[in-house]
Amino acid sequence: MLTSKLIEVSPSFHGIYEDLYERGWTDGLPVIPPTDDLVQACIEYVGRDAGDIVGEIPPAGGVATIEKIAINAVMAGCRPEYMPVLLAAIEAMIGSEFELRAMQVTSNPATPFLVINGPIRQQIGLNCGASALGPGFRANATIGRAIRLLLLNVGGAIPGTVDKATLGWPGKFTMCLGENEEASPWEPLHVERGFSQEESTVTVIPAAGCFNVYAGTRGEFAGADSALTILAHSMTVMGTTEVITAFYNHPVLIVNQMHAGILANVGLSKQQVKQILWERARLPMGMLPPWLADEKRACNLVEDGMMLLTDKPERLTLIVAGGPTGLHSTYVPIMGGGQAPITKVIKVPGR
Amino acid sequence: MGGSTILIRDPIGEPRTSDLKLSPRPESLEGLTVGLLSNGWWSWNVVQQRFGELLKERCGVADTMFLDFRAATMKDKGGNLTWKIARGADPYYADQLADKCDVVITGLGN
Repeated sequence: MLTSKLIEVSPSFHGIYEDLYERGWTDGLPVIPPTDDLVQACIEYVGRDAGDIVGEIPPAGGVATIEKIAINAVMAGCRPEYMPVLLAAIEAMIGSEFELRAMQVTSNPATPFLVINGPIRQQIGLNCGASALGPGFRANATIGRAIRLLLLNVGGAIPGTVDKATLGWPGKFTMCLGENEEASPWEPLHVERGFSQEESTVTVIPAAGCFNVYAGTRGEFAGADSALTILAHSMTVMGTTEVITAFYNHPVLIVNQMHAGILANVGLSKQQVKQILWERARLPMGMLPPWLADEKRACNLVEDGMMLLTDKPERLTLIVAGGPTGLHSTYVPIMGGGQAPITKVIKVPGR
Repeated sequence: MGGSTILIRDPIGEPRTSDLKLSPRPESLEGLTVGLLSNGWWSWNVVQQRFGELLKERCGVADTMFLDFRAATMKDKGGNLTWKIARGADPYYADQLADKCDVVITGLGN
């Protein structure tokens, strides 16, 4: 039985949009009205009681029940079969290592970036290929959006008052993709993180932005060495939190399948690629402001006069995604307070 | 959609009611020891020095005690970085402050 308060709203699409926007319940875009039939369908799909508690979302500490998750999922445009992903993502985010409380209130523009692995990608039509981080794909768009609505409506992260992001960024509307496991020459992210190939997982990453890394040359494919140098130095941009804070950070690269193929074709494993990237993603200590150089030294993030991006290559996360053409990878600088990506199993009902 | 209105469900998640209670607050800071705990953000260490002076000048605070949570907990015995931003104070340091201070104020200056 649903227990959330019933609200009377205008029956017109535009009236609903205006009403819910005025109440502060949206991200500024139109939402689907969470009527009982739609909410019930989401709850029935996961086969749990509406009142079951998944967790409390900081900073407000609002209780994320199955019902509240379903309501926000409907508003975001989710299909019922996306619900298991949302439940796993919420579980992952409320773990202490993710530092969700900090993310919700910081001036940093960080937001949860959801990376999905395993068979559920095909089951829910999640895009892992061309434009996987772009528009046009319902599962990608609405799963990420539902998480944002939950952070707002249950976590209380009201932009400008509680969510103190100085500027924010478009990733705070939605940020979700599937790893293109089928096009990857390496083990998928979830297998690397200790799960089986047959399991479906969501990995939440505290993304503070992302930018394109074009590692190619005109008219010909770049070699592996060139690609590695360009990819590595995309991670040494002054101003990213990895560079200007002294923590053992977890930077993330989304490697397109051509780059991954170029690297694998010269015999490099994922771990070897991480090692080389870590060795090359360095800046001369003399480039750093003195206060920052002092902090890097205090945290042992210096080797042979060079600043280390993080303390060891294993902290880098490599995800293979995107379409079959183009030498465009993406660097995802993370929030930069030592937060780690967290992976949870997605429990699909009846499987 | 027909009719004059439709019914939808409220998406707001309310917090659980808590039985936690605030510690008793002193009516005055006169003659008390006040602890100032930095949560690690840069600049609070500068602000807290002046803050401590003002507490003595204006509120009659007897003594102040400063603890930089970040410096105190940056590394474990093995030299590994353990401090992470936005964590609460380690109970070891919180207990120290509780033992020695009548009031503790935490803050950030960024």
